[in-house]
Amino acid sequence: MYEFRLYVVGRTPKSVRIVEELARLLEDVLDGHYNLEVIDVIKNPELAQKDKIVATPALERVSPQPIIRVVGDLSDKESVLAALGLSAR
Amino acid sequence: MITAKGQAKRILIADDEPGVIMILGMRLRANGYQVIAAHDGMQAIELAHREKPDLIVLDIRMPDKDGYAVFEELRASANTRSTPVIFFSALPPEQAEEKAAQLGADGFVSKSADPEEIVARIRGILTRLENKMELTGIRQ
Repeated sequence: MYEFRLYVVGRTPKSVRIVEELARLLEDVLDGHYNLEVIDVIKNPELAQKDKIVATPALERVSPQPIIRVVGDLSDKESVLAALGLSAR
Repeated sequence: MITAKGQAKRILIADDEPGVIMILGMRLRANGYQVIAAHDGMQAIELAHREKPDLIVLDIRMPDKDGYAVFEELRASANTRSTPVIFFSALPPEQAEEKAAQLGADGFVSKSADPEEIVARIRGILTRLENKMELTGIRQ
């Protein structure tokens, strides 16, 4: 099972779109075999500090190890998948 | 970080992503810096002139005026020419580092980097600058 953590700022149209698009992408590729935890850094700034996040949006593949982090533009699906060690089906 | 006059050093963060300003701002404040925020390139130039920060952390990809254009405008003005600038971006480091060096910026830090790295980089630049000013003062 893959575990992902996505850090966004607030519940804005942009952050909602990022979450929706990412969930769709992961669903396409992993067919439900994943968990996606969304962390709003406004509500959980300490968590962002603890996880050493300095910019958003930031996506982490928490499991399997090693942890992989993708920061910034998540709209390029192929680049995101490649960075996460996944491939499109 | 505190200046010789006992004031906190002032860092201008220019980034269109509110998360960067919030999280990086928190980290810099926790390290004793005062933070000024600009949400786009135009505001960055305006605040650089008006607030005269000790250092600017400048995002590269911003709408309207990107970080490179902002940097060139800052360097073209006598008022802001000597303000240290660190580029801060999610662009591939090898590409952005080379461009930052070509332009004559004071450094580049990736948005994927450990937050302590950017704080250390800022501290290093400000300390170097302060030492240089002290030396210049001694010579005068």
